[in-house]
Amino acid sequence: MLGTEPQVIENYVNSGQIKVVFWPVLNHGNPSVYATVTAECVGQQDPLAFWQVHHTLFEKQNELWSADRDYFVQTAVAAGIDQTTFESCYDDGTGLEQVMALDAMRRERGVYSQPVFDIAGERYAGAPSYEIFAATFDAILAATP
Amino acid sequence: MNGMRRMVMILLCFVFLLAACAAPEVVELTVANVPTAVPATESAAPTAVPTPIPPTVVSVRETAVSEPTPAAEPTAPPEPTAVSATDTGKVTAGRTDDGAFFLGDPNAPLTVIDYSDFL
Repeated sequence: MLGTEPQVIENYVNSGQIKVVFWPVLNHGNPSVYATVTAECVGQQDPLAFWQVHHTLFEKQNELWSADRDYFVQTAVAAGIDQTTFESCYDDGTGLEQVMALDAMRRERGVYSQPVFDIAGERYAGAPSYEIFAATFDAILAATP
Repeated sequence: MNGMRRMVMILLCFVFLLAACAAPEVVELTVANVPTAVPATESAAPTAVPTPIPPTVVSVRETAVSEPTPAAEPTAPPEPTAVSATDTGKVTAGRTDDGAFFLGDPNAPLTVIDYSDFL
């Protein structure tokens, strides 16, 4: 959703019309796990910073394949997160536990690929353009009392 | 006798030539046969469900220590990227009851769940 996210946030989230939920899908082995644990441990300290790091991780997607622990620690610290608390979450398995639980839940829900968007209970696979998102949102919001 | 043998050789050459020129079976990718994306509705049974790659990590600590270092040069940690919503402070963020992070008014009329992988 990286390409369309800023517009969705600007036009729908900031106006209070939409609540966006990020649900991790760990489909690429350990790099997926490390990146998601990083976002999780950041979010444990500051949920708003979660979204900042969420955006950064998507933007730096190509670097994540070879990223090591220091990379993720620095990513968290750059977002204003306390390093010691972050490292504790990253290393002691509490972040991992939460991430694995969410990943298990999405499988139980029948989500096996990514990205998948659940919009008002209807699921759509793939990454549509902002225009398609907007048209879908507008139609649902118009029908919502 | 030589004439007969020559005739057979010419026929064989002709047969080989035909076999070599036969076009392989190729399905052209056209608008008509491009696979279309199917909405991932819960009720619709998927025809081919991709098999997820199960994470093989045992624990972050363990792997962080024992994971082989990639051959590529280590990349510099990224600069923090500003998200407009966090900058403006207009929206709230938190966790759903299930434990996933959300952004926006908790009572917004429309909820969008983004199932994604950072990779």
